[in-house]
Amino acid sequence: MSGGTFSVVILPFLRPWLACFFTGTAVKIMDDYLDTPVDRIIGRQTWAARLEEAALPYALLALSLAVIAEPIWAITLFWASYAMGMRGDMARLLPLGLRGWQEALVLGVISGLAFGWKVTISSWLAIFTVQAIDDLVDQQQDKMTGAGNWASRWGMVETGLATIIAILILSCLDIAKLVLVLMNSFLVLGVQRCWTRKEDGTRG
Amino acid sequence: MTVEEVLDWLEEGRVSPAEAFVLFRAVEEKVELPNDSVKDNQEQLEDVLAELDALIGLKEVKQLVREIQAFVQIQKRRTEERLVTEPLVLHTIFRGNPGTGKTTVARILGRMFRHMEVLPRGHLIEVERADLVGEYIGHTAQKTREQIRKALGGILFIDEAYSLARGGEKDFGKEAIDALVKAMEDHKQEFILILAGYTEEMEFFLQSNPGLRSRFPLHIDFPDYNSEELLAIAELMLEKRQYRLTEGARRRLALLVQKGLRQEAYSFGNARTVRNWIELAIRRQAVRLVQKSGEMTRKDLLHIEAGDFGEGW
Amino acid sequence: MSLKACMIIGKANVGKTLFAINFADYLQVTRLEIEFTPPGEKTHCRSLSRKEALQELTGTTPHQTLGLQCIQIQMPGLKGKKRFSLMDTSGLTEGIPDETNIRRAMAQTLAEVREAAIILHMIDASSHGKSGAIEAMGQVDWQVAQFGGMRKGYAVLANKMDLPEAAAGLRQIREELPGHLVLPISALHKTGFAEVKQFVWRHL
Repeated sequence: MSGGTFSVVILPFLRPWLACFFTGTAVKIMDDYLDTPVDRIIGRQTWAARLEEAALPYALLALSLAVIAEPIWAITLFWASYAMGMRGDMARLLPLGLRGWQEALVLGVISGLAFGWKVTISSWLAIFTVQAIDDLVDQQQDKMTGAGNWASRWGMVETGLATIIAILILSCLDIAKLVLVLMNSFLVLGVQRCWTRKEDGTRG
Repeated sequence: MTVEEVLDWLEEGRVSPAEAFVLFRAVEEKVELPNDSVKDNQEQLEDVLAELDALIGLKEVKQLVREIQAFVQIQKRRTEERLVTEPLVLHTIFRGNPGTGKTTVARILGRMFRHMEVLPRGHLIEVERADLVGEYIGHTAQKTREQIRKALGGILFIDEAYSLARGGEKDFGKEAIDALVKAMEDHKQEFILILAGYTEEMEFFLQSNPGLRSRFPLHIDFPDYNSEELLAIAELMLEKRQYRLTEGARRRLALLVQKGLRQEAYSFGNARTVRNWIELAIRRQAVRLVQKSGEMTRKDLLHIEAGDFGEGW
Repeated sequence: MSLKACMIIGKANVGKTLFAINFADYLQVTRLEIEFTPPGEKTHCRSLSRKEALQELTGTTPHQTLGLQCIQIQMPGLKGKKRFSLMDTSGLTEGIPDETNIRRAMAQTLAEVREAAIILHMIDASSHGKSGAIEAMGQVDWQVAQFGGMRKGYAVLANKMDLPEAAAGLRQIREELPGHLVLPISALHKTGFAEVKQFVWRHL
């Protein structure tokens, strides 16, 4: 492979790819860290459970790597995850004095003004797609453990339709982001599964 | 069926908590009860009879209840075959001292009759003189009618029923008896009346109210438990609560029981007194363990010692 | 707006009151303001320390609790606090008890269970195999689980996990109540409370 091909074809994708991968890692660790108690009961193996107290610094480290690779992607994707992570607390007054939906709105507006509306909307749609697919897959388990889940709240068909609409809009806005975010979501899950399984083997 | 009805049935002792939850689900899902979630009457009848058999002692009582069950079963079958039947009058007199199992057997009878489809509800309304007798003219009839209304479909169990005749002709108790007799006419087959009390007092009561005797074809005598039976009852009570007696405690309890039996039957409350002793011993064991220094073992928690039954007894 | 209720339900002698007192302590409630509502009577409130509550309200004899006992709790958690009412209830029996007061107290429990946002169904995991014991898992537990499974916010608390027989009991509970979240705890030693807290948090 010549250097020209690398710089023309690979490099423009490498930075966003790394941003997606590390943002996904940071979000996954943070999310799982918060879910650790019940995850432990249902036997779900996660990085967060392995890392325990170290989960927070490692999540921040992963996010900083994502920012180095492609700051706008990293921050807009992370903020989108942050906002959607509050879906169970939309009406609740949070420590900053805002309700969940107000915090999400403020983040969306800041993101739009700072980085542009197209990149913001595409990031939010990408995260929505990943989260909705996750909810569709985990609906039964989430129902049992009480984790927030759109498929439980709206119904499987409704969530499925919303996901398809999000994918269609996103493919018009930024198809590369759709592909990279989906690909890296599966990659992060795959890496985590291999790592925790390996850990199990060594410990077992 | 509504939620309130289910709660009433639970309170009246017509359904168990497990059955109440089945009915709740049926109310919430607005569906007919699935067959597999509720046992059929025959299975439930067998459960009730097994419960009767599991009672300690009461050999004659069990025998008589079995006879009543067989009689009712045959009368129902004869009705189906269009044969002449005896009228199904099941009002009963229970005679015996306190703590001899009268209320327990009454409840079992209620459930037995429900599963035999003699009574639609089979619940037990347990009352005594104060629940029936009022304070002014007309009040007694009103109070008695109210209790009968509650008992319709089940059993009205009047404990210490002889006390209704206590005050002689002018007493309002007489008014309650009249109201009961009237209800037995007006609500034939709709409820069963059980009058319970000490043997001699009940005999005197029936003698002084000759009209009553003929209305109660069934008489069941509840003999006092003997010491072996009372000890077996105590052991069962402890087993249910996950306690055990040490050898010393068993001997102490046997002594207590024998001493109790030597007392006048009136003042010794049979199984009820034994239950009180057990509950007191459990509380004393707790105090003993809390005060004990050193580590508390599982064995400590399980065992009731002789001292837990008190020193001075 | 009335507070959401988290109801502790289960057979007599499984450790419901001990759990209520120790869980409130775990959630940093220093003094217990307990509302007592005996069936058919008015509510009265009492202020007790943890030690006083343990001495007065718990014991080894069944049916120590004959009525509702509510403790209002402000639970600290992710991004702020949530308020709820922790409701301790009278123990359920397998058959129909002779005592009128027990039947009335159970009817009161069932009257409230339909309104509760969260049902914590406590089972004594250590009573595995002791079918005669008053607290042993039985038909009523199965029916509570069937009822609980119809709604959100239902979990089984397998209590007394500190006792040696409890591991086998936990397996039995999981086998007999498939599809329900079973949280192993020790009300006495306050183990497994993080999981219960997270479950409660998610449903408030």
